[in-house]
Amino acid sequence: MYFFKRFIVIALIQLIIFSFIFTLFVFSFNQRREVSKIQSKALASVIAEQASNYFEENNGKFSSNEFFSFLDNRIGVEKLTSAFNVNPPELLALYFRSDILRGVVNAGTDINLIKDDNSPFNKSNKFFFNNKYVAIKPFYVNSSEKPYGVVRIETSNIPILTEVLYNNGIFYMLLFLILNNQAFLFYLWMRKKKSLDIETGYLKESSLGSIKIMHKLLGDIIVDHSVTDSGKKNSSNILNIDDKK
Amino acid sequence: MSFVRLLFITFTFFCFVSCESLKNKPSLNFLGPILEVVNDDGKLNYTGRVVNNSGKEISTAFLRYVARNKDGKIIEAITVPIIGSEGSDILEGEVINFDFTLRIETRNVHSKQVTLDYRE
Repeated sequence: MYFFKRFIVIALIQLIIFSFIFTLFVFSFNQRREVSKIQSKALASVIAEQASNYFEENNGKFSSNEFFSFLDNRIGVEKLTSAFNVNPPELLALYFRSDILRGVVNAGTDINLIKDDNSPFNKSNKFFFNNKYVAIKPFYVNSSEKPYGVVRIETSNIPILTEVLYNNGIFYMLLFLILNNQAFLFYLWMRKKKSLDIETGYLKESSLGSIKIMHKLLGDIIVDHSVTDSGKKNSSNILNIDDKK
Repeated sequence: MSFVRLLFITFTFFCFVSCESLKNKPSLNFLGPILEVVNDDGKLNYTGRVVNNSGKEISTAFLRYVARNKDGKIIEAITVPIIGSEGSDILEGEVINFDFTLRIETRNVHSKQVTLDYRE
């Protein structure tokens, strides 16, 4: 029971330390995720602008290969992702308004082609949190009031998770060791020396019982030896140094 | 516990705790994002590029695409072979275009997963 109590206390202290480190990790992760969101929105705006230019130049005609080459010529495909560094978007979707309204494709938007945050298409729950961020930006052709389509960019938050761990892993580990050290020092500081209280007693009942048994045993041994000592005094063949003096 | 034993355990612990595996290593990667559009038939079409950044020649490479419905069940899975300028071998730094179209109804696609599978 004594060791079990100690184990529970140690486990609780470790839990508190882990909670503290986890809070720091979540804070760093959220900070990095916000940066990624801003980057996704900016990229969606750039692509939407280029899509408007493409459709104006080609009078509404569209080919995915040509549009990809158009983006490469105007921006450079590598530059599209190099700005992201950690979590470049895997998919860059271009949906037309007509397809969205006919229900051919679900872009995760409402009727006005504005991002619907509650749409299940914009969420992906894994590892207990939404690990997908979707940036949607409508694009217009020939200064029309209604958007011609939307640009949709999906980015995963999982690479951010591993990146934060990669960058701060050693820091978290050292923090864990230091906090454990501090907890041990705190324990030493708080540990009180037991003062002797004669009235209430300072020994456990079990200890007292064993002392009583020992007392009885020692008493018996002393009694036994007192008999033999008297016998020894009488024997003449034993030399006693004290007697010689 | 002796000091030397404690030191040995600490050293071993630090050796095993490494975050190096979390860092992306150079390999066969997508060059830029994959462009997803709905074609005239109402099907999803994908266009993109792959680059060999592994520093080695890659013998066989495939692009694997998995589409799932809202229940998480796979409704279409495609494997597209990545073919370089010299057949199935992809040279170091070579950029290859790919293009494929799905057969299923676009509205049923809820989540997508695109991965590259290759042998060095």
